[in-house]
Parts: sequence; structure tokens; C-alpha cells
Amino acid sequence: MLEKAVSGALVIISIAYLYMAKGLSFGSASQPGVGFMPTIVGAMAVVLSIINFISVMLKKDNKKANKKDDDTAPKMDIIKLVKFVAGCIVYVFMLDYTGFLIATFVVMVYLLKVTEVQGWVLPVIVSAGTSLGFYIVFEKMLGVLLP
Amino acid sequence: MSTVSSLLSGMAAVMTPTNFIASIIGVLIGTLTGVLPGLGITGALALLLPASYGLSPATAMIMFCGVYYGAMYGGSTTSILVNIPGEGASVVTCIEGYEMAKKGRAGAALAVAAIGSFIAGTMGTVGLTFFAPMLAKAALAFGPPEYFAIAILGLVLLFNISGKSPLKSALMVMIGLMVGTIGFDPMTGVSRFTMGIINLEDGIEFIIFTMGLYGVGEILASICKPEEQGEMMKFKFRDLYPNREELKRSLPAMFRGGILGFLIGLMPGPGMTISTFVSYAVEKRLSKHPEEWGHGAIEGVAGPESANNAANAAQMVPLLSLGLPFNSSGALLLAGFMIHGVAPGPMLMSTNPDLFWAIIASLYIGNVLLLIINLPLVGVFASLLKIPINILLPIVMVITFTGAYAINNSLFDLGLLLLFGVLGFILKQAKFDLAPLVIGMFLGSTIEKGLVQGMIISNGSFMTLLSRPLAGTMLKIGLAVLLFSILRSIYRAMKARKAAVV
Amino acid sequence: MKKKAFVSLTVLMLVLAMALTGCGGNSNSTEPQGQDKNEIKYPERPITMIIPNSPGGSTDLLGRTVAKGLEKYLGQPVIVQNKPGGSTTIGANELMNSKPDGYTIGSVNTGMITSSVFKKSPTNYAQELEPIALAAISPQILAVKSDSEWKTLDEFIKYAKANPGKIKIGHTSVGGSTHMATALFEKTTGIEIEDVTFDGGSNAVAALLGGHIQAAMLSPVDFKQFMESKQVTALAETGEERIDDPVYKDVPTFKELGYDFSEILWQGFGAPKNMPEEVKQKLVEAFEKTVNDPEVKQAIVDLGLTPKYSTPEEFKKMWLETQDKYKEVFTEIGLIK
Repeated sequence: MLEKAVSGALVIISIAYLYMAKGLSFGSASQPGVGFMPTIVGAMAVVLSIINFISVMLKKDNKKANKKDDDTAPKMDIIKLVKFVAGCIVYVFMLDYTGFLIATFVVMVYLLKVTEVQGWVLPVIVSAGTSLGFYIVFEKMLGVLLP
Repeated sequence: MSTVSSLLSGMAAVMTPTNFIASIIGVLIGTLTGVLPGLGITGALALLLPASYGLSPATAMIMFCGVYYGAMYGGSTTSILVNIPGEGASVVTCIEGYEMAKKGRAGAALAVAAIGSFIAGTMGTVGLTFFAPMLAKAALAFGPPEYFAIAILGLVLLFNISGKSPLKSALMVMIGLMVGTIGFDPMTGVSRFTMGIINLEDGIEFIIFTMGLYGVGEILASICKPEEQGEMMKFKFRDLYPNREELKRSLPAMFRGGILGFLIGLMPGPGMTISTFVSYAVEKRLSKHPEEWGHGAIEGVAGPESANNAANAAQMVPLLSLGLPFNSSGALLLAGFMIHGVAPGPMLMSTNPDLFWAIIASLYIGNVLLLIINLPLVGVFASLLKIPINILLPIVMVITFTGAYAINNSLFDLGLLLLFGVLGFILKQAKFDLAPLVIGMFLGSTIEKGLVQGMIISNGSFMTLLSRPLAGTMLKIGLAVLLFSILRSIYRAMKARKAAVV
Repeated sequence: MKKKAFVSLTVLMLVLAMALTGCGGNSNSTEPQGQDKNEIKYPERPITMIIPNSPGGSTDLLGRTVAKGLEKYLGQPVIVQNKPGGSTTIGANELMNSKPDGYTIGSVNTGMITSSVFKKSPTNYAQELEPIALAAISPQILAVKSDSEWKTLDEFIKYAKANPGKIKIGHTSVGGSTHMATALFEKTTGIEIEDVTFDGGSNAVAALLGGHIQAAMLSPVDFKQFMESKQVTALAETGEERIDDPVYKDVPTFKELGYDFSEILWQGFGAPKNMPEEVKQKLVEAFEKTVNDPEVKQAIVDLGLTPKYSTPEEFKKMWLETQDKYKEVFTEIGLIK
């Protein structure tokens, strides 16, 4: 299912890309313009993505085998995934406001709770260690200016 | 004869306490920056440049060379342990290396990578010592049309090595090329596909793209597999190092990788990265255990990792004998030389032979130092995987973010990193291969520049391009391989259909 | 299950709370310093220098050299921060939008003209920033391979006239200084050539030495060692006067040869606008001393540039003039639409 959706999305993306590439000047063979390579690549991508989409849609006879795979595959914990990604998004914004140390510490604690580490002592110690450790390595040893 | 004696006097120059310590520092910093995702040689040199002002040119050069070699050694570590390639040249290492780590053979993979790096790095340095001026002249025969041809040949080889479906690989390569065109056009300065976002104008940083798709994508995939979470890697200390069987299988791969890497590495631009997947393809074909490929075949780590270190040495050839860097880390190394008033190139060997040979000697010594430093580290790194995975994941996430930030000091990059992570996760679930996508993006600008410059140079005629001996040959080989693989896959599909009907 | 959701919620709340307090804390701590009355004690903490290019390039190295020299005259550390991207636009905007208190300065260069000239609604950085000092300049050099058939500029132009479109000249950076020099050369001499853009001088030199292109327009530093080893021959340079460097002292300027154009790449320093006058004065003085410091001068020469100081006023004038010239020439050759 996902494979089909992605294959479909790739067709749309390729067509959109080709459309945008058409807006750039193609130039000529002896003076290739900005759109020269994008047009070629976009056209090839459209062709390939359509062939791929068709072949994915035609794969019906394999469906039974696929279903078996789906059953044995571990179930995804989507909620956890969303929580984790949300934590990362918050992290990016927090870095700007609070600086590296606080943001890293707080988000680490949160992420560790998302990944179901028991208790509070361990997450806090790990987070403090990580944020401080990376701070020292990057900022002090490697001279990177962290936010 | 004179080469050997000059080399020996160079060795003596490096073995003075100051220079030797400089070499150790360089190698250590190089390893550290190589291991940390994102940083690489740029970060290391930014740190060292101001600190090196007070040093004598020879000492500074020895330190820079240590960094240059060290960063290449360290690059494989994150690929193997957490599936995060730090640069183009270690993307291939992820394929088998990470599979090995999943099976508890991370130590073996790391050790083989270190040993292979040493062997191939030394082979490369020998090549550099004895054949540099000759090889450098040959390298000049490569102009923009040839770069284009190499990159195309590389892509065609890539269709064949990775994944089960050449069609999907080809599609992923195209998408990768598309991503590569985002930003300023290298020829006219017109911004393309940026959708008005200023941060996209310089294009998407390759490392961000790779770390996002691979690293973050992998983290996300592990997060939502609850069953596997309880498991942690269990292995005994003795298992950290490769067993006799694994070593026996890797050694020939290392030597082959060394030779391939050195030869392909002489080609400018993406030669180093291409050498890794050529080596992978060769090893896969020669392997006596074809069933292991994709599930942690040790030759798939040994070959490419050796190849990229030999290629790394090969890229010093044009730098030292022509003064022309053929890759971006070479360009930074050149900058390091320049601020110390040393201009590497045809004149260096005659005007300042002591310095020249000290630099060459430091490469040999650096290689030995790296092996000595890296082998014990294998144990340390591999033990990191003993950390329960639910604690390890957030730590890896934070280090990926920090490393990514360090590249451009840009928070926007972190947003991109996360976006690519989610995309990588989805693509992987949809059974699309990531390696062709990443390499496609990596080669995109080389292909475009080579194509556009090549078309101008050959007055707009593709036939003129094909009539150039080197470019033409490579393109024809590429075309032949492409046709062959298309025909083969059609043949296979028909056979499968027949079987299905019967 | 509910407990876990509660826990993660609490943590999220905590995150937000911390974010808010962190925010407040930040602005509290910076206010008193900015509001010091009359007496301005400057500088009393480290200064940040924004470099709009990646580490390792010539702008970065020049910036770091000058930053180090500045420390001596300002008595405070100067921390270099690379903000590459958008061909200097990101760094330039960051500098433009930072607090005009003298604690954020930045390196500025011809690249900012290029990036602003091409925009539909260009930012006039010469006006939006406070130019502080010019630090270095560099002409561009037109060179051919030594074993080619051309030994002088006239021979070269004669050939180009007889064979329109056959000569390919390599340069770096579209809309940059080498491109400008190539365009001016083509325009002034009336020859028809094809220009090929390379990323970085060394790639162009490699193509030149390999015979893939016939000539290249690059900075002196790109050619220097190849001049020494006699692999390339410089035909002319685009400066107002000849270059001091012994390697180049015999290379005539285009003007000397009767082609009336010049193109000079420059590198300077600037700050956000509306700084307190006293702070600006201190910065200007410090920069003047730094750029004229013999040690710094030597370091700039080692980078292959010509050290040159000029006052903020002269610098601004030069900046504006370059901007006009770029707009005019690049519009003429159809690069700006």
C-alpha cells in the first residue's frame, strides 16, 4: 500500500519538477542554459516513475506473498514515532531560544521518556551527560559555535 | 634509489619530537572529526588553522596531513555503528557494515575497515611516492567531458550493484539528481527550484541529505519497532575482533580495493566515492558467498573502505605534484598549506625537497599511527552498542543534530535533516533503496557541470564529446553496461512470467 | 498507558516553560549593556565576526587573519563565525539584522554585489550595512598555457578575431569578479569567445593545463606557482597598476596595452548600521591599525592578495561604484534580465 502511494507521489513530484524545469531557459546545445540538465533529468524521471508506478500496480499476483510479509512484520508504533519527531521539532526551535545546553538537556529527557526508559534518575543523568559532553567536545575542543 | 633515501631523511624529519607530536595530534583530531557525523575535515581544519600560525611550516603541514588521513579513517565508524555515512565515500560501507553490526559483528566490521584502511592507505602512499609526477600528468588529460563520463559510468554501475530492482534504483538516481539541482545553477547563478526560500539557494548540503535519509531515517525506524527494543547487543569481548575466517575473506578484498581505489582516485572530483562502489561491485561478483550480500558480507566493508583510503592517497597526487586539489578536502588542505606560505606543486620538490619528503614521510607514519590508535578504539566503539537501544537512540539523534548544525551553523539545516529523516523512513518502508538516491544527489553537480562545460568545449555537439578518446570510451562502456542490464532484466522478467504462467 | 501519556505531557510543558524563561532570561541580560548612558566602554566582551563564506576559502582566511590582528588593538577576543549560504546573502543578512552595538562585525566582499545584483528586489548592502574598512584587493589575470601559440595579448586577440567562438575562457563564479573581467575583456576588444564557469580556480587551472580550455581569467594566487614553474604565461592583468609580486611585475595591465577597463576584487569589513558614533570610531581606528600592521600585511600577501586600507567613506564610494558597474555590464551581456 505504502509502496503504491510513494510510487504515485514520485510520479507527481517528477511531473511537477519537469513543469518547473520547463520554466527555465533550456539554452542550446552549444550554450546550455539553466534548464538544460533539469529538463533532461525531469523527463527521464517522469518516464521512469510512470513505468515504476505501473509495474507496482500490476504486482497483484504477488499480493498474497506480500500479505504474509505484512503479518510477520512487526507492528509500527506510530504514536511513538510522532511523539519522537515532535520532540525533535521542538528541539530545533528551542535551540534558537535557550541555547544548546538547556535545549539538549530538556529534549533528551523527553526523548528518553518517549523511548520508555524507566524512572527519572537515569534519563536525567544521561541527558546531562550527553548535553555537557557534546558541548565540551564541539564547542571547547572543536571550536564550533553552538547556539 | 634516491627516492628511498630522500624518503628516509623525510622519516627522520618527522620523527623529531615536535613533528611527531604534531602528527599524533593531527591524526587524533582527524579521527575524532571523522567519527563525529557532519564535521569532517572542514571542521578540523577550521579548528587547526588559527592554532597553527605559530608552528613551523613543516610541523603544521604534518599536522594537516594527519587530519586529512585521520578523517578518512574515522568516516566508516558511524556508517557501521548507526548507519550514518559521514561522506559520500562511506555510503557503500553502510550497506554491509550496518548489517554486520545488527548481527553483532560491528567489531569485526570496524576492525576490518581499520586494517583495510591501513593496507590500502599505505599502498596508495607508495604509489604517491614513486609515481606522482607521472600520474599527475595523466590526470590532466581529464577535462570536464571526462568528469561527466566518469560520473555517468559510475551511476550505471550503481544501478547494477544496489538493490533488487534496477528500475527503482534508476528512478531513485533521477530523484537524487533532481534534489541536486536545487539552488543556484553553477553556470549562470540563476536560482532554481528554491520556491523562494533563501536558505535553499546554495543548494542542499550533501551531508545533511545523507545523514537525514540514512541516520535519522534509521533512528525513526528503530523507534517504532517495539519488539526489538528490549533486545540489546550481546557479545563477548573476544567477539569484538574479526575471526580467522573473516580475515581470510577480507584480505584479498583489501588489496583489490587498494589498487582500484588508487587508480580511480586519480580521477578528479567524485573519484573517491565512485571507487567505493566499483570495489563493492567487484567484490560482490567475485564473492564465494553471494547469499550473504545485503546481509552483512564482510568483503563489502573491507573492499570499499580500503578503496576510499587508497583513493584518498591518490587525491594527494595532483595536490602535491601539480598544486591542484581534486576534491574539496584537498582544497582545504591546500588552503592550510597556503597560509603557511607553502605552495605545493611542481616547484615544491625542487625548491623545498626537505619539506616535500617530510610531508610524504608523515603520510606513512600517519597511517601506522592511525592503525595503532584505531584498533583499540574498535573495542570502545563496538561496546557503545551495548547501551540499551532506547537510550542510545536519543543520544545518536542529538549527536546527529549537533554535527549537522556544526556544518553551516544553520538551524534551517536541522529542519531539513528532520524532513529528510521522515522521507528516508517512508521510502525505506516503501522498499525504495536509499543508496542510489544519495549517490545521485552527490554526483548531480559533477554531471551537470561536466555536461554543460563539456558541451561548450565541444561546440555543442554530443558526437564531438563521444569522439574524445577517454570520455568516449567511458560513455560507450557505460552504454554497453546499461543496455546489457536492461536486456537482462527484461529477460528475467519474461522468464519469471513464464514460470508464473506454468 | 495513561500514566505514560501524562508523563510525556508534563515533560512537554516543562520544555515550553523552560523555553519561555530562557527567552526572558536572554533579553534581560543584554538590556543593561546596551543602555549604558553616555560613557560607552567598548569593547568589554568578545566580538563576533561573521564570515559569509565557508571555512578555508580566501575570504575566510583573510577574515581570520584580520580577526587575529584586531584582538591586539581592541583588547578583546574576536570570534569568527562562518555563516555561508545564498552566495554570501545569508551571512550579509545576519550581519544586517544583528544589533548595532559593535559586538557583531562581518567581512564583506564583491560577492555581496553579485548576490544582490541578481535578485528581483536586490538588497543594496552598500547602503544597508556600515562599511568600516577596505582590507585587500586583487586584480584578475588572463593567462594561457606556456606552450600555446600565443605569447602576447595582441597575438591572442588576433587569433580570437580570426576564429570567432573558438576560444574558450575559463573563469570562476558567475556574476563574480573573474566573470566581470572576462565580460569586460570580451566587450572592450570586440572579440567573440565562449566563457566556461568552473567551481574554483584550481579546476580552471587544471582544465587549462590539460588543454581543455585555451585561456583562463583568474586571480593571481591561482596562477602563482604555475607562473613560477613556467607552465602558464600571463598575458595581462586587470588592475590599475602592475602587481608588486616579482612573479607578476612584468605582466602589463590591460590599460597599458590600450584596452581601457579594469576590474578589481576587493575584501573589506562592515557592521550593522546605526552604531553609536564612538563605537564606530573605535572600530575604524582598530581596523586601520590592523590592516596597516606589518605582520597582518605580510599574512595578506601570503594569501595572494594585495593589502590595501581605505577609510569608511572611500570604501563606501568604491562599493557603490562597483555595484553600478556590475549592474550595467551584466545587464548589457544579458545576465541580468
